[in-house]
Amino acid sequence: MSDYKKVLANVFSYSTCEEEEQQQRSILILLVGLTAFAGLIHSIIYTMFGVSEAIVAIIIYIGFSLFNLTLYYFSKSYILFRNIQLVAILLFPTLTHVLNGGFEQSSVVVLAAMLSPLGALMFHTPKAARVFFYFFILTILLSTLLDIFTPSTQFSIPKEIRMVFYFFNIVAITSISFFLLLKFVMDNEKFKQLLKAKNVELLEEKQRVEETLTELKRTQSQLIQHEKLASLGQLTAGIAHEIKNPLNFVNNFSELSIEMIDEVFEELEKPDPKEALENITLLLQDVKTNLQKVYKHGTRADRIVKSMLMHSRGSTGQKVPTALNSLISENVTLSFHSMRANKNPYNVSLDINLDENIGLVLVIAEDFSRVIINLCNNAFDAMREKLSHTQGYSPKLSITTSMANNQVNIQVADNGPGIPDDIKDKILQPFFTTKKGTEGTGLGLSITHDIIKVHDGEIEIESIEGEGATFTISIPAIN
Amino acid sequence: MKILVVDDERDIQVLFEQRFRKEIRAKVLEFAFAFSGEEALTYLNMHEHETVLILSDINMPGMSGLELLRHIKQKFVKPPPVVMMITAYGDAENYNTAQELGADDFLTKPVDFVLLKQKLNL
Repeated sequence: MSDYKKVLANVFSYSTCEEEEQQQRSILILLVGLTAFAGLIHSIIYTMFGVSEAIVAIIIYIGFSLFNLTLYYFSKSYILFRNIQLVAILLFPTLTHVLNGGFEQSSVVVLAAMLSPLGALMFHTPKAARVFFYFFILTILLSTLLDIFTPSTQFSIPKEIRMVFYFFNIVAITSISFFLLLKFVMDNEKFKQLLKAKNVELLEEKQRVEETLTELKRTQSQLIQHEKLASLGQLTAGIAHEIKNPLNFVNNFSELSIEMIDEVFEELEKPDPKEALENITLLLQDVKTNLQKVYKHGTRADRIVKSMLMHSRGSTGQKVPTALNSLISENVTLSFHSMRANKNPYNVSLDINLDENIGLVLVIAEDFSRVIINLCNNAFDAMREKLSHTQGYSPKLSITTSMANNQVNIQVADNGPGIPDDIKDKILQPFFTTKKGTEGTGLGLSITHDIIKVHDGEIEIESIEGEGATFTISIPAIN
Repeated sequence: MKILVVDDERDIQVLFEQRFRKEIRAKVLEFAFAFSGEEALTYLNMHEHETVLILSDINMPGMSGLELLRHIKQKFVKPPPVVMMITAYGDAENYNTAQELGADDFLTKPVDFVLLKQKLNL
């Protein structure tokens, strides 16, 4: 802001106002000063040409303006100052018109009343400006009527001077109107440009946000994939252990069968066919049992491989009728063996109670397996932690399934350290983990929760600190 | 000689019975089976001093093989039976713990029956 504006702001005590408001006030004060000054020049010229009678109204205007400024200085009321000045601007040209005698004698000075609605546009509300404009029209109408019905004036102003003032009055007022309008149009144009630039900026911003969102989504799915791989890695050792047992049986029983078949051939060589037949029958019975065992354990290994694949490949997202009890027991065993096969194994009593009334349940098998694995892994981790600082503690994990009101309930209960009350609400949130360092991704329970939601189910957490935690999942049973 | 085999895999019974079918038929060996640590203890309480050798797995749900070993070595004072533990390959931790608890011998999984027969002097 220029210096004179600062001075004005200090003199009229509005330097604490907003900048735009200060700008407006200083312009109005300046305008009042300028009009008064112009009036002064006007009166001097009139006096020089010997028509000092014509300057009465102008002198009144100058005096009035100075009075108004003084009033403003003391009252500090800008609103009062503005309104008085706008009324003064409306009335004094008319007064000049009346005193000097019509349009011609006053050199259409009444046109200057137009400054009142224009000033109101700048310094007041559009509504007030409209009212001032109607008063302006009324003023002009009254002036015209006066001009028609009153006789010509007492004094005469030389025609040349009249013409000069004619010229100035018309030019000044129309110029002010024109330039104000021009400024308005230009401001409008500038505003439009600004708006356009802002729009472009907003569009760019929107695009950037969208890109970030896409990236976030991608990262999220990567993280989920990562979590899946991490849990698969942890499971691998358990799976290897799990698969070794059935393979061991397959090897042993097939080896035994080969031995027995050899014995059968030996029996065939024997001279006594009756005894041989008896022995061969016994041997073949054993071979049959063995082959049944081979088949049984081969199938078991196959199932384990399938459940491993279930964990490594993406979810089909398809809910299919699944034997829930066996899915649960397979995954509990898998988690148990991976705990046993990984770092710091310990002994746990597993208490698995499955309600036989639960038959097929609609689940996304891959996803639901993860739920069981996640809950068991968490329980094993929690109990290991308690075991590290508790004497005489025997870890125990209970898995219970039950049916009630067409709902299947699955309960995973450990007797570990429990969950402190202050984090109970947080444990389902993504990235929340109590595990140290890189041990936990903080996604296990969050993903578990998401999967259960997809199954129209609920997860409930109960825990008594120091005594254990129980996770209960309920999902709808098949009718 | 009576041997108690402890393992949570039920098919271990058929396997042992077939692997040692000749010895069983010749009544050189007699087998009993328990499918958990608890079951093994119950059996031992009922048939005290009959069993000469116990062959036990370590990883079992419920009472583990190590706990069973501790029970046997602490509670069956007057000549406790020989206990042979079956450990997973490379499981040094359990191996050491079992040794501290007084395990008499070890076998690694999967059980090598030729080696077992050698150990039993068959």
